[in-house]
Amino acid sequence: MTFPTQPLAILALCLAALAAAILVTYLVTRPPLVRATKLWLLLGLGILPIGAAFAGNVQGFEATKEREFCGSCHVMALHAKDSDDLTSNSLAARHARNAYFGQDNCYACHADYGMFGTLVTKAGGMRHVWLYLTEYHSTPLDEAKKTIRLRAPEKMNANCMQCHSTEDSLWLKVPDHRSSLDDARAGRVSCASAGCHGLAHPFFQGGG
Amino acid sequence: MASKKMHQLLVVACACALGALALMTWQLFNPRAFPIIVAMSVGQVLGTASFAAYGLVLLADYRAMRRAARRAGYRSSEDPPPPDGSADATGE
Repeated sequence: MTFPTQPLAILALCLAALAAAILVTYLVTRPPLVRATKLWLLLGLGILPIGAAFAGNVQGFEATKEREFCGSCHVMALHAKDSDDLTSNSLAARHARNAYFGQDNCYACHADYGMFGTLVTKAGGMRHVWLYLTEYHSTPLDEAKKTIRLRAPEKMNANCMQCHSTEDSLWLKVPDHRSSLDDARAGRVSCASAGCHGLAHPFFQGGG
Repeated sequence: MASKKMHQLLVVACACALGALALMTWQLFNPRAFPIIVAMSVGQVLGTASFAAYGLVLLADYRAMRRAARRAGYRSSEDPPPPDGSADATGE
């Protein structure tokens, strides 16, 4: 547990503290319900908590993009640990060392893109929660790392191509890229396969 | 103006709101799956319910005030006219 330092988190904490002060004062003093009390309660029960919830939720959504969040389910702990390992050469670990999105590397590679990408990804995340609660919660790590699969592995190349467009002239100069261009774009050959850029995660089993 | 029940409802609403605020701040200190999901589900429901309860109390209070005002109006219309017989323009 760490003290949050992000501006939105601090704003949410301040609003929540003010609201709590008003509510505790009301509970302790129990004043008559006159106009002033109603206005104070409007602040304590409405405006300040709504502000705290809004700031907290935005901060929460940002936190769900971080690797620490993804690794908080025990079945993902090995994947997160591999990304944290500075000496690891797995595809995920190499992306984790990227200065621009390294802390969010799980989200950067697994999120859906497009206009509703974030919403679709969050909805998919709820499926993960459901599966975790119903199937994987008490699954031992050794068993989980053998059984967890990508739901739609054929879609993974599309996510790679959000950054690696396959249109760049330097990229096209690589003979293997040129020869497998159509297959890579169609998702028939995975960028993250043993013969190409290597498995994304050392424990990944591949397949669907 | 609010009845004892309404005051009790407000106390419950305040307690619920405090619980909601606690859950919402928990996710900020511990940004892991369980606290965030709990804050965005249970926390939101508790917070919304407490604000709805506050709205209900205000509505009940407003209706009670209107009822009281109406009753006071009836009572004054039943009063006998002043001894000099003068009445205002509306005849009330």
